Amino acid sequence: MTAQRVAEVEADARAGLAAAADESALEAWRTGVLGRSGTLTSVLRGLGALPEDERRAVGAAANTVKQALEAALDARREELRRGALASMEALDVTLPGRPMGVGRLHPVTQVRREILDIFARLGFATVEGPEVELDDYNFGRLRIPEHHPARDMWDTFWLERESPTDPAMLLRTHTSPMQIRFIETHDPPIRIAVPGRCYRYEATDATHEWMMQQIELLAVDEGLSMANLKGTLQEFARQMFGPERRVLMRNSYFPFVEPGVELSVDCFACPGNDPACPVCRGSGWIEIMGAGMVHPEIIEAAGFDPKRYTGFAAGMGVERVTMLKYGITDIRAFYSNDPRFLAQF
Amino acid sequence: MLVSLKWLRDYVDLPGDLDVDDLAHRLTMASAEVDGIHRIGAWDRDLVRVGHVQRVEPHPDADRLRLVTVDFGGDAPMRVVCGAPNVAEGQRIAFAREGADLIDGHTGKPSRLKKGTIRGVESAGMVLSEMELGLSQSHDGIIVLPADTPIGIPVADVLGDTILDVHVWPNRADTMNLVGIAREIAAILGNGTAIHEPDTTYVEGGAPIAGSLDVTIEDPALCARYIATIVEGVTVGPSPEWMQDRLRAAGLRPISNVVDITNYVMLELGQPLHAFDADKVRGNIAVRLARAGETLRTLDGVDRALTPDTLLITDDSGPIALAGVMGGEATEVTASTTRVLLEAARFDPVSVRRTSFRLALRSEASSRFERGLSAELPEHASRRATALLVELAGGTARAGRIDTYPAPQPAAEVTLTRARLDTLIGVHIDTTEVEAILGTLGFAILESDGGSATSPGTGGAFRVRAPWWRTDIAIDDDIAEEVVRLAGYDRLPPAAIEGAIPAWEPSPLLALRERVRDALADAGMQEIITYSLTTNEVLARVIAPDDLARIAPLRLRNTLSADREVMRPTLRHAVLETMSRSLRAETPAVAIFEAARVFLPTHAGTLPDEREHVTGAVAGVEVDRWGRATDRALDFFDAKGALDAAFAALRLTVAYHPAHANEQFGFLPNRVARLHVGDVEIGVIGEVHPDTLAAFDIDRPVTLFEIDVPWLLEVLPGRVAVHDVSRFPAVEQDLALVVDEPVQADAVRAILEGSPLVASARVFDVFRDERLGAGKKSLAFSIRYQVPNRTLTSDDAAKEQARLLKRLEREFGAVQRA
Repeated sequence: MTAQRVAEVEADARAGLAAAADESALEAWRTGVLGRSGTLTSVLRGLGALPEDERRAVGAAANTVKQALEAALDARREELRRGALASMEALDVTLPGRPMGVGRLHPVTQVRREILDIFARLGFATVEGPEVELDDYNFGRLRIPEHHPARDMWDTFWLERESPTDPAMLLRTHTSPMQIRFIETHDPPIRIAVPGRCYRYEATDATHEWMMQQIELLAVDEGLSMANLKGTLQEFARQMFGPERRVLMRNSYFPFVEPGVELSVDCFACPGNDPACPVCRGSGWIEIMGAGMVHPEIIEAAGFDPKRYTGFAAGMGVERVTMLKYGITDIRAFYSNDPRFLAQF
Repeated sequence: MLVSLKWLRDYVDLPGDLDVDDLAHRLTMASAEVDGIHRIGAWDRDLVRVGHVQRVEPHPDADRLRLVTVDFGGDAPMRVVCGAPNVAEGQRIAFAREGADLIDGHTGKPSRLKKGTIRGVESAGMVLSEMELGLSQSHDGIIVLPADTPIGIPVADVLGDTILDVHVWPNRADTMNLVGIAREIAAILGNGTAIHEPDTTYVEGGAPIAGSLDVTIEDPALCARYIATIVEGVTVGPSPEWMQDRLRAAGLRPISNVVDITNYVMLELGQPLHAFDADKVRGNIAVRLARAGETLRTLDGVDRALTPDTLLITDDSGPIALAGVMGGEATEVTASTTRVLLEAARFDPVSVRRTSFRLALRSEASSRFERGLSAELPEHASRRATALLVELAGGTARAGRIDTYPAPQPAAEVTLTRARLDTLIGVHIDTTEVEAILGTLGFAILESDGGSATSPGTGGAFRVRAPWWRTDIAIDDDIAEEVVRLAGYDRLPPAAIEGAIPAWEPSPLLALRERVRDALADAGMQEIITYSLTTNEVLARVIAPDDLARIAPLRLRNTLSADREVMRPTLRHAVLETMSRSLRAETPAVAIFEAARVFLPTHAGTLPDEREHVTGAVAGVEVDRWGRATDRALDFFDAKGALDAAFAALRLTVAYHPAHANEQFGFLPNRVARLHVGDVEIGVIGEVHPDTLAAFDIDRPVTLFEIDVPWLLEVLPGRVAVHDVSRFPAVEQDLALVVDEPVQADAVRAILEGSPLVASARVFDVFRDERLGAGKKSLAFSIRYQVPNRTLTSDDAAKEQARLLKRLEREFGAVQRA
């Protein structure tokens, strides 16, 4: 019983540990070395037979070895665990996942929200109005009386009347009637965005649907100018189509605004001169909305002083913006609801 | 409106090297939209020239061919073969030499002219027809040019043209003619670009017209002015080629010199005119509304019954024309006409529009009248057309004119303050420029105190008088538009809105509708958008006959197609129609919904109730991990799962109450539930009746649900009540109960969860077996016992479970399953 014996036990134990390749071998090794009748335990048991000073020296050495072997066991166990993890059967990560149901919003809904969110950031609250309208709101109060030639701009679905004295009702041809409904019931400052379905009595083709969604803007306040109209719509164009976008205004006519303009955005799909560009056809500009300064008679009719208050209004088609955004060339794709079309958005 | 640039050059000096694209762009920016540019005559300027036919000789070998010697301004005349019957010595013709790109007269396709030998005679050039120049399909004969056409000049300078397709605004009656467009272009080009008004002078030869004819206007509001002139001794025949060419370029068909002159002046000045055969007009002329029973046979040979709001031109015999819309057959100018009575009038736009719509007689004339023409215009147009009748129809004008103009209409005078101008457009345009712009547009500056260039908002005002042709000018903002459209909108600086942000307008219903949309999409359903119009026939598939009769959906007065008659009072049919198509598109699993309005008529004459509905449907089979359709059909509980996920997202607890048999049309009687939150019914879910499905051509089970969003808003929880989470452990125990078939799992659950010790009870199995007895089923619940303030023992749970069992036995006859 000497320090040499302790060293021999340790050497044997370490060799045995290195050879142990699984958990049961480790357990057998632990029992054989550190167990009640293990080789090292036997050494410790035999210490009592040694003289006092030798016992102390050999005992200290044996305890140090015991601790070292216990640590080596843990290390070996960890080594084996890591080895086992490292050699696990490889996962084919390309196999399909277990499906969760995926639903999507209709692309027109998505873009409608995108537009409304932009205007909400600019302080325009979203409000809605009726789809079935009175002639008076769709036309009359927008300064488009019966037999005005401007009525040709909006082919109209009319509703049957029970009696000729009933007011004429129609499917609104634009979201503009909500300009009137809102200004009649609210005080300036006004900033609203009005989304909703509109209807036109016209044949369908790749760029015309008889049902479509519009978003109308109305801002009324002291001192609003065409420069504010331009700034607001430029900011919209930049958030919608890219930070470098510019807007172009040109003369137009709507009876409820003066001056009236048509607004275009510079093409984001080509450098602005590509005759084959499906978006701008080489013109460099994409028309996106009609707009103008609210006609003073409309402000006055609502009970406000048109000398003090000015305003601007604009209207755009959500389908058109969606078509531009996604490069869709046929508007009829939207409301035929083919699942293979809708699933792409 | 088609605008020939060649014609337009009569009225405005355009630069010789005009950039047409740039002109079209500038016109579009400032005045009227140019929809298209059609270029005629991109022929080679050297190879296609005006030639002079010096000699015509017979072809030695062919009877129908001739040898033509043409001087085309080159070194020497050229002899070519020509087959046209109308070629003759002395003519000015269009001549092409080899190498010119033309249209092949036989194939109609582009081809390059080559030297050839025709029946033994070499020919290196060609005398051209309209077809070879691409002007028309006519290949019958060669083009004969006016005799004074200079020899050797490019044919492009003679026959070439550029046509602008211009869309003018409904309020700009003054731009619907060449002179009007010329005025706009002159203002846009600026730099003193001059306008040349057409020549309206003529020599009067006949006796004074005054005294020979009376014109009365009954209501000056309907006819502000009526001018009549008479030209005698005219010879009706074709109008000159140049006039016919111009009419054709503008899209009109030449008819005769008299009619063509009226159309020509309409295109030129914008004033529709009418020519009567003066010998057929009896007595005097009156402009008045139709009287009961009156009729008129119009130029098109149709007898028209006249309503009392029809404005007429009448003579002593009765109606002779529909004012501004169409003339009568009896007074029509014919080949034998020698005396022409020319009408130039200002009719009420509403009257003309109403009559032209009612009789479906919309025309170039009515579209001009209905925009509101100036009452000054008839005078200019009358002089111009009378001058042309004298010049081109060989007539003699009676001296003077009948001009009935009871209440002359002065041009608008408007004051635009400097402050208004600057506020409205948002940029300061200095006074000299404002004055210059208004001046080029023909406005007279009566007073101008536009303030300094450097101090926006100061200064006085511009008082201006609109030119007589501008009937659209009424208010100060109209003047501001004139300034900004010519100054250019690119001068406006994009500016953010200043000032207070308006009070936010909350829209809780819209917000909820959007949350439902999101929740259903998140639950795996695809949103669709369908048309709001349908038919009663389709609605009858999803709405009970009595209900449909009671709802009486709003019906359209005018429809484009038979499948769009009424505004839908439900979305169910639309979802099922889309479901049918989607299933046929071989999509194994379909889960769709629409969020839209339904239209419920209320009282006659008032707007309908537009309610936001969300309607969805689920059908098909489950798709497994490998994308394969499995055997398991999607059913009620798949739809309910999606709906429950959506309700959970809205923090709503919804109860499913079985609906009574036949209470819900279109559903299977025992497989439909009403959705309840407390006492409020927010919707319905159920398996669609196979008969209903068959009507939509669907052969698989479909579960459909519908939510009424306004009702959902009623029950939507406000702020969530937050409970502390218990720190003490729960005891889980299972309980299997045998109950009668009709007992609903949810009723049992409600009793279990009613216990103060039960945190939750969840049904996890439904089991039927003959050993349970007929009409019995086993419901297994997993019950979680937990309280917030102490640890429950299994003993506590057992005692409470025994108590609950007694209660369930009493209420439902439930016994614990052995």
